[in-house]
Amino acid sequence: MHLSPDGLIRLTVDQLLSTHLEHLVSGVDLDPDAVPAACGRQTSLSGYTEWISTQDPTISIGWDWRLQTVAAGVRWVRVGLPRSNLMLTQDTGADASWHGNLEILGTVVDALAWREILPQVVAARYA
Amino acid sequence: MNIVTGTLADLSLEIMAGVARYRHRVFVEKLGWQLRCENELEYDQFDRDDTVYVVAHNRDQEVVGTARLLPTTRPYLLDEVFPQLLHGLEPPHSPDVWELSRFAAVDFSVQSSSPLAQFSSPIAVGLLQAALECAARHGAKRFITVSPLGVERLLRIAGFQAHRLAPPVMVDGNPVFACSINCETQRASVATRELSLC
Repeated sequence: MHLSPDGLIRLTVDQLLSTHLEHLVSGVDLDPDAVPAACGRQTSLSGYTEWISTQDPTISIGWDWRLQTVAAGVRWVRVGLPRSNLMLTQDTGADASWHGNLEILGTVVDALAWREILPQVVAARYA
Repeated sequence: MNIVTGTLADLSLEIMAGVARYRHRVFVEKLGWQLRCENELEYDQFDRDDTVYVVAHNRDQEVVGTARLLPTTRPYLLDEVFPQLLHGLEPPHSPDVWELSRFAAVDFSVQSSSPLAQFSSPIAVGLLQAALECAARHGAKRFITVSPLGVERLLRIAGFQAHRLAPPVMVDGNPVFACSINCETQRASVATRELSLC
């Protein structure tokens, strides 16, 4: 793992998977133009969440989420690809492609326990 | 939309006064930033002889967008005012890296339901594209900016290749971060929503 002059931290997938990530901050999208939901009508909730490593250089990964209504209630769903200061490298040391890097990061963050933590932190911030 | 670029020496006094007034309207009057201003004109210590401006006008010659470009070989906003956003990383000081700041794309002649909604225009993407091209002509390979976190999301939607330099930091209750935008491979695909950079 090393910090490059372009500001990206380069590391392999294995190094990323062995890195502990902690929740930093999460927020709900606040649209000033949104029309208040009427009683009984379906509404939507979306936002962002940010996670960091506890070692130097600090890894930063953030992504968008939305609350999806399903038959059993609601579930938290990642929206789009993550944003980060990471560039994953291949065994040869070469960079992954820009999009491929983000796709892999997406699968990594999906394995984090963010869906369990987010309800509490969002509720605490906006309580 | 007509876009002009240049330094203080290149641009007329009328254009520069229009930029300062426009920046006051956007950043102080609309966004509520606590900036030190005189006579409803917004400018600071980074508005120098070597500062490069990108200014967009509408058909009536009203300012509808501005951007400020600073070489990182001289004092700049991220290094001097927001170094905490780099989390201990060494601020860049290179002719390849320029800072983009005071970016705004609001057409005040267009009626809108809210001030923020006025950021929603192709002006933002066109202005950023022009700023990137202007910086590239000065030798820049990438921009760095101090931005609200939401800008990273919008840059991606607009097709710009950008990444954060470090984790976001809460400033006045809002997450702010240091962003790096590649000048060399940019081709914005979609004109989208609001973009405002410090």
